[in-house]
Amino acid sequence: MKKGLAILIRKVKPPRHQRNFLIESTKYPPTRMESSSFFEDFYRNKRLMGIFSKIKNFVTGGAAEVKVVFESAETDGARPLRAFVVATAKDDCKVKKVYFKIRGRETYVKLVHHHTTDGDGNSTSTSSYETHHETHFENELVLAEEEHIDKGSTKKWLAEFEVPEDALSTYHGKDVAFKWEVFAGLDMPGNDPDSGWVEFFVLKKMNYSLKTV
Amino acid sequence: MGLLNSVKNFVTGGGAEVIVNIENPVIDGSEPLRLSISATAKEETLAVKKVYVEVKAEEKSANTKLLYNTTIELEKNVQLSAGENKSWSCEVPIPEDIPATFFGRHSSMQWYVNAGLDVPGMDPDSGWQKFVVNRPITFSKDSKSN
Repeated sequence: MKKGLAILIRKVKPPRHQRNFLIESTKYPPTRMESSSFFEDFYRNKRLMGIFSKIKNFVTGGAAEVKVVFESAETDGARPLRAFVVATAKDDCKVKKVYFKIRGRETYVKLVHHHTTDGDGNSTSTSSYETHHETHFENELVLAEEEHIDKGSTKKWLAEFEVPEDALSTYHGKDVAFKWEVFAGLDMPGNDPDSGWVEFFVLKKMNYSLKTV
Repeated sequence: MGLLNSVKNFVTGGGAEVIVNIENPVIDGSEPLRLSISATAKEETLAVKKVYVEVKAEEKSANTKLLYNTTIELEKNVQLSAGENKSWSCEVPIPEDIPATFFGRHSSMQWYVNAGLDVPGMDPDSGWQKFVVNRPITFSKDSKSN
């Protein structure tokens, strides 16, 4: 087994004169080094790949990695929350604005009735339980405008916010949930790079009375 | 009539009146739920196998999910003569890992208590009574990721 592995390593190890080149361009290592036209092809392909990469990032929002980092992801409802939006550019990014959304959303199960009628006029009724969402609260902050992030560099912005006074506490049940979440994004041409929804926790004591129930 | 009454009570569980009194119907979860239960036999002597209290937490949206359920036995083999009244008291701790009372727009999570007598053929009980747990929710690492 060990012998087989050693042979495999020897086979993939490039000749000595290629090694530095491989270190410099690990993404597109050449397999043939004999002719100068090879280099022309290689660099043309690399430029093309760069263009394709830009198009891909335009479509997927992959031009930057966006993360939300909370100082503390918990509040009692009265204490403001502080979160940093950290963006690392994988390509040069010209950002119109850095936005930060906050939402409080209820997830619940709803019985939904479906009625269908076929071409012969026969109708069928079916019912199913479906998961639904309702947003109770949403807000958007603009953290920065007209930003430029160079490829490979990282920038961060501080978002400081409060939940409303009448905010419901976070709830995680079986079918039901009430979640507080934030979402950071970079407004750029094409799809915006974003953090996705990141949950934080409102751990407050509610004030329900017997009349409420 | 007596026979008919017995049959009715056998079916309906109406052989006794059971009342549960919640002394602290709004709690913060740090203290137990304090209950006093009284039962009065109506028209005949009842041989009660056990006197019990049930506590449950139920989540409701389009369907109902039981999040917590416990039964506490207060006394075994009790005899209640016709018209006789007996009472019991107990304290029920509320587990920390079960959510507090919650009210959304389309869903809720509520706490209930029921006291009953286990009598062959009938289980007279108080019916489910609501109480409120107001406390900050605590999460384990696992439940946070749900």
